[in-house]
Amino acid sequence: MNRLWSWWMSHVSAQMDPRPLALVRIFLPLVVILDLGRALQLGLFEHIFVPFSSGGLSQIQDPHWILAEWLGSSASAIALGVTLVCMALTSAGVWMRPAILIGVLAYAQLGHLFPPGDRAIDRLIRSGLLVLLFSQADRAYSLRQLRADRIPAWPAHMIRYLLVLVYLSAGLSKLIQQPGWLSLTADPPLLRILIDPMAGELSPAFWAAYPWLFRLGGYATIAFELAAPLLLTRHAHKLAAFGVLMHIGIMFTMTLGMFSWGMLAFYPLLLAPFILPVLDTYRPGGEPQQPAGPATPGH
Amino acid sequence: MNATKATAILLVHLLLLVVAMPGVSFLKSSFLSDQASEDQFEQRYGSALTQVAQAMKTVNTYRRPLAKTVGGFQPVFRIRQAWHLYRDGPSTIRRMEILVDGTVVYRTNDPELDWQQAIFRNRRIRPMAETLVKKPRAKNRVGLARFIVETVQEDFPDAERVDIVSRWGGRRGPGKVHHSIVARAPTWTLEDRK
Repeated sequence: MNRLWSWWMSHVSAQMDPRPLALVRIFLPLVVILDLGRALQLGLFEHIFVPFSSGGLSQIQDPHWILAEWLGSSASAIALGVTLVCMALTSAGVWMRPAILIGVLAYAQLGHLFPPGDRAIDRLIRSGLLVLLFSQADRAYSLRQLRADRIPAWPAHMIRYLLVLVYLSAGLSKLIQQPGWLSLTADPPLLRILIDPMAGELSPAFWAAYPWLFRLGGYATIAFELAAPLLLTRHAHKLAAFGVLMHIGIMFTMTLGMFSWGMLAFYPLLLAPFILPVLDTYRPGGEPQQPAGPATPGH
Repeated sequence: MNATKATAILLVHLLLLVVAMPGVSFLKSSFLSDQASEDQFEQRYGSALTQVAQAMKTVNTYRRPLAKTVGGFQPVFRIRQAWHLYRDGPSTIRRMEILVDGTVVYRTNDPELDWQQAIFRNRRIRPMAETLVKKPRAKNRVGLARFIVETVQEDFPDAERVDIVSRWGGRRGPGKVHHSIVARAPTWTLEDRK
C-alpha cells in the first residue's frame, strides 16, 4: 500500500513542459468559438438558442436552463456572448481561471437551452476545460506573457485519463452491444455508420460493394479504442498517431461538425514527443526541453 | 505536492471512474434482471461470457446509485460522462426530403437537391432531422417542421404547399415514403401523414 501511495505521490507531483497543455488551452476554446461562429453564420442563433414558445426549434429544454429566470428574454444572447468572450480569453491565456469557469457555465446553459444540439463532444470539451481550470496551462503562449519552464503535470494526466475513459467506453460499448464489429461475415457496423446519409458522407450504393474495407476499418477502430489505456504510458504518442488518422478519417467521411476538431484539440498532450522538438526549433534562443512524458518525476 | 491535494486528485479519478465506468455505465437496470434473460444470454454467448456479464451487472448494481449521488454536480456544467459514441449505424437508409409545391428541393446528402443543406446537416440541427425521419410524430418534430415551412416561405414566396417526407429504403434508390408532414397556404398548419 505504501509503495502504491508513493507511486501516486510521485505521479501527481510530476512536472512537465507547459507548451502541450497550453496548446490544448488554445485549441479547445477555439473549436467552440468556430463552432458557435458557424451557427451564427448560418443564421441559426434565433432558432436554436430561443425557447420553443418564442419560435425556437426545440420543444425540449433541460430543467437546468435557469438563466432565463434571471435575465429574461436576453438570457440566450448573454449566454452566447459570455461563452464567446470567455473562450477567447481562455484561448489567449488571459484571466484563464475565471474565464474557464464562467465560460463553461455559460456554454452549459446554451446546451440546456437546446439539448438536441449539445453532443458528446461539447461535454468532453467542457470536461477538458474544467480540468484546465486547475492547471497552469496559461504559463506558455499567453498574451499575459506568463512564463514557466515546468508546471504540474497532473492536469495533463487527468485529461489523458479522461480520454482513456472515453475511448475505452466507446470500444467496449461497441463490442458488447454490437458483436458484428468483430464478425468476419456480418454487415460491418462501420459501413452502416458511414453510409447513413443523415451523418455519413459515403454513397450507400457504391461503398456497400466493399464490405471488407469497412470490416478492416472496424477492427482497427476497436483495436485503437481498446488499446486506449496505452495513452497513460510513454507509448501514448504512437497510439495517438493512429488516433489522428482515425479522426481525420471521420472528418472526411462524416458530417459531425466540430467532433474531429474537438477531439484533435486534446492531442497536443498525447503527441508531445512529436510536437515539442518542432516547437523547440521556433523558440528564439531557447534550450530544447524535456518532452512531457506521463511520469516525469517532480523536482 | 501535499498528501491532501494528492488524495483529492485520486478521488476525482475515482469519481470519473464511477460515473463513466467503461463497459458498465451503459448497462440498463433491466440487463440480466431475471432468469429467462440470463438463460437467453447464456444460450447465445456461452457460460464464460455470461459469468462476465453477471459480474458487470453486479458492479453496475452498486455503481449506479453511487454515480447518481457523487455525480450530482454534472448537470451544472452539463458534463454527464456517458461515452457511447457511435455503436452502430442503421440497417435502413433514411432520408429527409422537402418538396415545395410537389418539386423536391432537398434530399439528405444528395448533391443535386441541396436547398439549405448547410443548415439541415449542421451538427446542431441534424439530430432533430434524424429524429423527425426516424419516428413518425416524434416529440420534437414541430419546431423543425415549423422552421422548414418558414424558410420555404422566405425562399419561395409563391409556394402554396410544403411536404416534409421521411423516406426509408435500402442502399440503392431513394426508398419509399414512410411518413410525412404537410403544410398548406394560407394557414400553413402542420399536418402529420402516415
